[in-house]
Amino acid sequence: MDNMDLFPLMLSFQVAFIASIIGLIIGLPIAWLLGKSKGRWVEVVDSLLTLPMILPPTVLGYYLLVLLGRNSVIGQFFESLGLPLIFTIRGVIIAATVVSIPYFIKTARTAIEGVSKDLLDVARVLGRNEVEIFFHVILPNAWRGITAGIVLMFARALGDFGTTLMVAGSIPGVTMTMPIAIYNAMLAGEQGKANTLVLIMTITAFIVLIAINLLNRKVWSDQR
Amino acid sequence: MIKAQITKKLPSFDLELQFEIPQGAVLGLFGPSGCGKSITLRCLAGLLEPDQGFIKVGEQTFFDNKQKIFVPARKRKIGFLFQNYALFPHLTVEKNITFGLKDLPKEEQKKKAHSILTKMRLVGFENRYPFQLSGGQQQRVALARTLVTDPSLLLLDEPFSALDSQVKSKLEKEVIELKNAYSGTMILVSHSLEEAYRLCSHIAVMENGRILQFGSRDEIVHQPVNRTVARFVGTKNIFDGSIIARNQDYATLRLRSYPIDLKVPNPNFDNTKVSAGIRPSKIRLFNANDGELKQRENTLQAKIVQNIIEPDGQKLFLKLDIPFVEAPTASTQAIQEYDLQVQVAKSENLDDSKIYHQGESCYIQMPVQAFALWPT
Repeated sequence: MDNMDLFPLMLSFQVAFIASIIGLIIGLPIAWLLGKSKGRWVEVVDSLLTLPMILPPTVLGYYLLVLLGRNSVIGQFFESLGLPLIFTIRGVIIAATVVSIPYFIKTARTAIEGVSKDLLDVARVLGRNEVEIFFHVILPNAWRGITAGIVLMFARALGDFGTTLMVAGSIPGVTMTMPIAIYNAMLAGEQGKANTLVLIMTITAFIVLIAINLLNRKVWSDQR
Repeated sequence: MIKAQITKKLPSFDLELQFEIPQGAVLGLFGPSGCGKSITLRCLAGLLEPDQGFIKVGEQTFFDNKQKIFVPARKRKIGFLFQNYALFPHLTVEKNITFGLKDLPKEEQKKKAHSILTKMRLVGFENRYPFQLSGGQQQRVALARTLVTDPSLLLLDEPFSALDSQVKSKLEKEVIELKNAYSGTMILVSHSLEEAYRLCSHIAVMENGRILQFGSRDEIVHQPVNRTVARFVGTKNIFDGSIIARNQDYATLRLRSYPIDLKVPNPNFDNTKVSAGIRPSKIRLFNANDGELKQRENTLQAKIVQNIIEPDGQKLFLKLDIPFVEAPTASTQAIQEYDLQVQVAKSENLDDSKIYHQGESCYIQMPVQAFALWPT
């Protein structure tokens, strides 16, 4: 324990935190639009957004490598700015965001759709526009579900292994996150280190589940 | 004045209607579930856009597809009362009421809210949340929230159907009082004839997206223009036949299904094939030994097939003592166990002899003016 490198732990939490904020900013408007729209295209978009949940992490990582790598337009653009994406912390954050955002969008969309249509109609008749309705009617009535989505997203971002490894490698002190550190510790026979990290991950996951359950239970008791 | 002419394609039928009501009128849209009443209301409120036509309220045009005008709901200043109240669960009573007043200064909002709360007898409930209120109180808050915005048109979508009958009649009374205080126009959707009749000056009977009949409430109930409307408004007894003679104030109707003629009002249309309807409460019932009454017009002998005793009277199903020639329509063929349905009020003294029993013989008399006629 004494000489244990805490960098992977710090990096993982940092990355999960940033990925969650990015996911919230991008995902909430998407969840809102999906929740209020009708038609076939909505389900197509929803399926596309769900794809990262279904695809093997390595496949997802491969796509990201192709999209963001040194030979791609995007990769070259960021490279020219002096901010290469792959094999850097930026790559880790992008990988974590992509794998975790579907969990948030799905949960948030369900929560937003759960707000009674009549409440939205009443607000419209009472003179409020759609943005006001989002902040004054949807958010106050769907925040628990949205928060549960954030917690899920954070947990997923914290635990990503495959995609992160593909996009950012496992450079100690740079891109080596906790799940990768656990893998490396195990390979190197450092049982003690692996055990500690595994315990931290397990406790985190458990806390996340308790938080989600509490949020869900509150949702039900509110409606009674 | 409200003038509307709208068409809209819907999955199961096309909405296609037009009507015009004066300022201050109360219009009831009455019809079975899924006939397009609520959709009409949503079109008027601007929550749905019709495909074609126009909607004018007073001087304002809210919708006109030729001029490409569609005023969104938030700019129409129309009041809308929902069946399930639709109060904001996260806001207190007071905040619910001021929700539609965001353009006014805070002081003004408080003043207006207080005045409407007083009017609706909700003082003391300002800081409660909707789930802490009874159904009737919730609906009063919803009403207050709508009225506080001074809408020029108030739309009510089955506003009392979720309430028990006592609270319901109390609220109805309040709505009528409010209506008298506020000169705006009201349009109410209902699937209950009684409710529509009590609250409305005009009624539009709807089916499958169309208005079958539009008129004053008494016209609708006592002069239905066709069989469907007659059935909707509770004209249980319908006879088909042809007019064989016309006089100054009455006509003779030869029935198709029974070998008799009835004396009915002279219809104001030329068709000879007609239907005559009479409401169960308009048929007089008397005992076999009441000789003098037998001399009146349209008196027939009948047997009681079934009696249902109700709090304020009896509902009787009768079979006429004359042979049945032919089934009136395919739909009534199946239920030819009785020919007539009669509603009798309870007499003031609880005299048991006035209760008609199953199997008993009796006489019925149908007054000429009690018939409604329409061409078949």
